[in-house]
Amino acid sequence: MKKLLSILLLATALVACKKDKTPGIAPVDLPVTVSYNLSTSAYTLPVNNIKVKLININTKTVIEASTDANGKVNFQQISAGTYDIDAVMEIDAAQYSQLTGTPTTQKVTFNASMKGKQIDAGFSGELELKLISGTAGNWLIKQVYYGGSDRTDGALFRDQFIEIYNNTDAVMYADSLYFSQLWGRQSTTAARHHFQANGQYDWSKSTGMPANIDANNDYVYTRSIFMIPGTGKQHPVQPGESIVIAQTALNHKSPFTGNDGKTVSVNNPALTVDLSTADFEAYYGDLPGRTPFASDIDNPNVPNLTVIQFYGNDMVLDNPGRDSYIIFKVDGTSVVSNLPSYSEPLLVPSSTANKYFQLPGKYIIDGIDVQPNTTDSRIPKKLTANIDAGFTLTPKGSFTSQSVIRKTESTVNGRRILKDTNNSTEDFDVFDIAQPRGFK
Amino acid sequence: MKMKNAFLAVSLLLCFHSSFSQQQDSTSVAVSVRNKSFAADSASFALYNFAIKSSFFMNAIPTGFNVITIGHKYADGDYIAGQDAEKIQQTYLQTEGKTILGDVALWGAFSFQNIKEDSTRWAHQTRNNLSAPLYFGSPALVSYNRRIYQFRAAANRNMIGNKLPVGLGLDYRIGDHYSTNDPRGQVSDYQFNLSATLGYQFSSRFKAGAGAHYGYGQERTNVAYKNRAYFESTVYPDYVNYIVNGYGAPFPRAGDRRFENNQTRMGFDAFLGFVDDALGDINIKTSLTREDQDYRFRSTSTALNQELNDYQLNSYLIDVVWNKKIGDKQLTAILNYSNIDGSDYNYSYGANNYLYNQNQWSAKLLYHKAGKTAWNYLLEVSKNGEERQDGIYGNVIGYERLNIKPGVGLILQRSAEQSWGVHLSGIYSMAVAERFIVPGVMTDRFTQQVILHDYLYHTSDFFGGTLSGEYSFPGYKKIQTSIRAAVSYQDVLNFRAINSMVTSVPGNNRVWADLSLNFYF
Repeated sequence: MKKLLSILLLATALVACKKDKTPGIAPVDLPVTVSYNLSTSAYTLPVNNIKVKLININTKTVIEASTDANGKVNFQQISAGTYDIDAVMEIDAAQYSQLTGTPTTQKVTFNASMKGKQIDAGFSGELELKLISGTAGNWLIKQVYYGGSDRTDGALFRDQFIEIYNNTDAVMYADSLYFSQLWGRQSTTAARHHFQANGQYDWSKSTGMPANIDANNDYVYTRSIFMIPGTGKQHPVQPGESIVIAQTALNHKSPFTGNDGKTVSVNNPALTVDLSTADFEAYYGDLPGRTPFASDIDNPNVPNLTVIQFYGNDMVLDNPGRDSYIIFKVDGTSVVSNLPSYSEPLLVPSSTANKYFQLPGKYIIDGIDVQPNTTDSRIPKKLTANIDAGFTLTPKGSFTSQSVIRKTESTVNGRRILKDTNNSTEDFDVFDIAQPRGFK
Repeated sequence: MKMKNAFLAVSLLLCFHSSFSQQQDSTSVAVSVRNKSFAADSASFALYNFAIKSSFFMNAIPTGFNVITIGHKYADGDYIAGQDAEKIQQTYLQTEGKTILGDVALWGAFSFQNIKEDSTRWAHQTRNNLSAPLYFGSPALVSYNRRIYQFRAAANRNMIGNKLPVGLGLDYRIGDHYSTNDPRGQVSDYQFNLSATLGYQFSSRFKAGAGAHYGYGQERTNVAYKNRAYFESTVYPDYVNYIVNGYGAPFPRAGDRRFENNQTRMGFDAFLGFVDDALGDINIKTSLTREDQDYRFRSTSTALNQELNDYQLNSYLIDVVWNKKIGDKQLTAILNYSNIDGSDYNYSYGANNYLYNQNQWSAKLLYHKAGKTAWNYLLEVSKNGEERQDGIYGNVIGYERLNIKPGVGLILQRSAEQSWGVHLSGIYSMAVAERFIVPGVMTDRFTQQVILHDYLYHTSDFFGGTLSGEYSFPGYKKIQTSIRAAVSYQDVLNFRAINSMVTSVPGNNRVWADLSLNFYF
């Protein structure tokens, strides 16, 4: 019996020993090297004092640092996690002209970005960022109202619009300016495609894609294309002014009678916008074989866009924010409707898969990536860093009346110059209620 | 699932057959009264509750002890943990019994619970896996309905001249948990566990054995909304669905709100049984169990099943029961120790982030004196503790509590078939140790409503008690029938202070009531 009790006590003592443990997640060092993605080595640009920003996309922690003389920065003892990493270098006009021998009157901004980079607990490598300069904007995407307004009390998505701005000090003509929604990976929980390392579709694997082109970096793939009509000088836009392109050019605050003869009212007009004075609208009633939404009413006072490529029953912008938007013009060598088109790079190719126009990136004047409002719904970027190194979003999400609006950088003689660093994360803000022709 | 439902139906039939076949063999009043008396004998019943946990100790279960209970429980009060519900209504049916078929002893039990919770938040979970590192939750209060079926069975046969006791056990539980308002969580789960024991009877006084157990199960969680605005935007913050992955501020999960948790577990057991008229009977059980839980996003359209978290639980326990009969008196002492360690692998970070520990010991003494006026006495001292760590946020929250529980009860035998019983117990519980490290900003709602709330709840001191009464009488076919009512109450003595603004604080008291109808046959 004594033995039994001894065994019992020993067993109890053994199991009672409790070790102090700590979680396996330990901070890691993250060295980053920043350099320029230059096609020529005829000149050297400074690599010191480049601003590098690290954003933990889950905890929202932001760490900023600047590079040393070798373009290096070491983020020490950061938490493992998923990060957005952005680098930006602004070189003023005089210095840039001096260094490169290329005269310029505007500062030149270089961007590099790496979005959604997972830094594991055992990370021991080094990240390299390549700075790319973008085209200084003349036409700019100023405002995109893609979220729509409340399903019950607002106008749903029929009040969507996009606003394009003349950011120069000269009159520009909007004739033959194109606006497009881009296509790419819309969900991270589908695995029927070939993907690049950044998670985006690997378009080079699309059926029929030529092997001698960089299908992923030199082109974008369009979901829709609209063109502003005109003969060349029919639609002047004054410096510091903009054009508003409406899905449907109505005063959405007021009741209207739809194509089906039914009258629709808005419970809370304050949630939506008046687009009756929009400059252009998209009308699908003229498209052969297409039945437009009941809300797609043709306003005779507002010119219609020329619809080159479309989907659905009206010019609907993706409410959750999975579209990217570009404006572009083509030169005389290209006819947009004759651009080659390719299906998604499906693992199992399908002859009935949708096809998307392949547009050379060189034609893009401005573009922005937008994203869904919650981190878990993020999707890979569709635009490269020379067009948009970041992304913007409406923080409240869909049907909340919010729009993304480009920030004002300065005002010269009453003309607002909007911010354009080719990084929409930095360049854009939010209107809680969209304001056509409004400024932030 | 059809297969499992069919299995459940067959199991139910077997269980009821086992119970009611006893009725045909032993419908005598004496057996029924004996079973009622057995249930009222706290010292014997404590041994019974130990024995039904393993087929190895089936001989400690009286043959022919059968009981059916139908009851309703009610709980109310806001002295609760952050993820509990303020009001709970629970209707239950349970039956269990033991029979002998040839030389095989069989024990079976079935239970059904229908539970309605009025105000659950931050927990689209079953109530069976509370240390889970990953689950969905929202600040909004939701009404949860739970239907849980459980079937347990054990068989034991003593072979080779009663030298080699061989036992088998199974435990199958199936549950459906769903909330009836947005965000509408649905959690379906099942758990299936098998155990086998093999012993050797060294002498008439001493036997030892070893066993193994294996089980598997699954929890599938889905969160949906009737009002689309609640997930299409974050305008309504109460309704935002979050994914909790560890023990820190969770992240919104607006889309793809579904995952599954596949579980497997296995372990080993050791048993000792010692019988001595002078010293009393000593039974010991120890167990080691490893459980692996695999959390993964559940994809409907493709073969892509994104790994979210791997969670491993290692547990061990030791139960020691000593039982001594002296004339019409009986004494049972129970010593118990258990420890559970949980550790996850978080795929988002490629490392272990969450650590969990739960440990408890208890010493319980039960004394029963039979007679026309029978007495039950209870004294229990226990200590329980829990600790959770989150590496990303650096959170470490833990507590240890000491509980003292005395009790006394009496049963008045009015006639051979009629009795009254009343029992009163009290509890005093105090926090004796704590760890509270929350280095980050403590303003997010999960930290406020769960982490800080639970810290305050678990480190509070409280007292309480339970008063129960039971009336037994001969019912249908003279089966001993009892009506039992119990009321419990807890009241807080104090809360710890936190050097931060707290928006969610536990209330001061909670009350439970339980009314049941019991048939002993």
